Amino acid sequence: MERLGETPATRQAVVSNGQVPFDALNRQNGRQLDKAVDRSGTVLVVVGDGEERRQLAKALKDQGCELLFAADGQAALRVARSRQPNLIILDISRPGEDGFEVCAALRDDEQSRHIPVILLARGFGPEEKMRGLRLGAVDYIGEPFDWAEVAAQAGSQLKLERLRRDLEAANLNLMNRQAQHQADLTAAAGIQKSLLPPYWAEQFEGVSVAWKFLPMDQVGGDLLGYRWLDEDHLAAYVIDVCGHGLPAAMLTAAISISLTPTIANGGEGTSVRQCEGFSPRQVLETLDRAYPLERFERPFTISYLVLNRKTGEFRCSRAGHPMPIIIRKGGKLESIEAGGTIIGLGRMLPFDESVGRLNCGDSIILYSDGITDWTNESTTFGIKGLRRVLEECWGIAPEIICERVIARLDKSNNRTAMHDDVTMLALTYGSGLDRSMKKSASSVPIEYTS
Amino acid sequence: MRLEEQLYGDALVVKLLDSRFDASAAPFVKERIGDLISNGHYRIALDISEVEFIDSSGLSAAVWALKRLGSEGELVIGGARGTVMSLFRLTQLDKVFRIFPDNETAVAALRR
Repeated sequence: MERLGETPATRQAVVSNGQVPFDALNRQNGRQLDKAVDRSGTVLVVVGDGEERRQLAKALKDQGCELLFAADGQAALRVARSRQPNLIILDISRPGEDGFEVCAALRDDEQSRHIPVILLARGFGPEEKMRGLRLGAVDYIGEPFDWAEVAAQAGSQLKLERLRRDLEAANLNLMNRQAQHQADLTAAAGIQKSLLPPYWAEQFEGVSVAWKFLPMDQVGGDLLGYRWLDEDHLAAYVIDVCGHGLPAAMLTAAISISLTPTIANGGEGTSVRQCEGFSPRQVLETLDRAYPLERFERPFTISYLVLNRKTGEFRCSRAGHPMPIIIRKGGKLESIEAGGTIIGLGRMLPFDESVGRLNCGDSIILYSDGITDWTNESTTFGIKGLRRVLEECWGIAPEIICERVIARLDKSNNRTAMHDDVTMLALTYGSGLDRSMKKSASSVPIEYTS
Repeated sequence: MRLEEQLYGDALVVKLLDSRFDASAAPFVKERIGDLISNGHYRIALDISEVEFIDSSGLSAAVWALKRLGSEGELVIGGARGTVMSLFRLTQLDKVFRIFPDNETAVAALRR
């Protein structure tokens, strides 16, 4: 925050975040406050003496106020309830009535308690003043009465009252807009959900797939998917768009559609179906061309894999994304390093891809950094935490692998708030996988929230 | 996010003074660097030695600055610490940026 009174000449070395300095804010607010210089409103006058009432009425009318009158407490309550004045000026020294009781009654009544009350008092001391203020009066004016001054005090209260009403209206407006925004988010979450695979887990001839998608907000900046490129080749991917919430979610939708093999090759060449030999490297290059940083101002990372379900051969590449992990027999883990940098830089770095082969029972795990960055106060789950879980997961169905990883996250964090979208996809090659839940963790997995 | 700017000949060092280079700091850093580039600074060293935490937004801001400078300018990184450096490596941005251990080496590289 810039210090007040600092002249531009002294600001050379340090530039701070763009927060508006106080003096500029005050100038801005002052202009708005000056607009409310209007000190008028509807005032209920409860003053016993005729001459005093006339003088007060004149002073208030000079200020532009509209006036209501009541002769006693009962009438005051009645008028306050039905006409809803903006202010009540109550003379509590009127004979024949306990003015404090009238004040109390006005504050007690649901329909009048929000109306500010100024007390006029004659011959009372400081104790009575305290009593009046404690009863909820906003002001307490003693003798001698300067009616112009009383009217001015009334004007200030009216101004305050108007500001309070404006604030309430603004709040209500804000709440309505918030509700609308919430509804929009819910709708967006629905759309994003429809972009996800229809089933949590699927078993095909030669390969099984399962996934978890747990966005930190209603909508996520991550996305995942898998698609059959042809009879034998399954493509799978996990995307992580920079940021969270609605803007990031919109971009995930665009990318997801780019990765749909059935979309015909448009002018920008975004169809992956056209990629020869189903090369992940070419897919990433295509995306890098289609999503330059200048276009959406958000880079994204992606892991992209193509698996041949007949032979177990796979090709895999990643763009700045956490390295996919292969689980081999005996719990041996391999990280797939091949790839390039984040999407959007326009070929600043070439993409390469890894080629390999899975054996029956081997799995590949794609995931986003929401899992490895998962932290409680003292420890981060990390790649070590993930590897520890995966080491026990050879030959196991992918849905159980996912359950175990998520359950472990849940344990390590005691269900405190997530810091990032949690996304993973597991593919296991082969048939006859262990689908029993015997070895799985006993804690309940996190509920799918959207 | 507070920034400290210092000129060494035609090399400008922009030092990030706060420890989190994240979604709340990134827009301001981007805007400021954008202004500096518009004002004719084309050789910039981003000193992130005080940064303890960087996320995709921070990286995105750095990358944006690099692209903005394009071939007519240069952006180098100085003082990437442990976890920050890990993220550059994970995203392979360590192959995109020239990263130096400290301010001095970064400036020297710019002035060469």
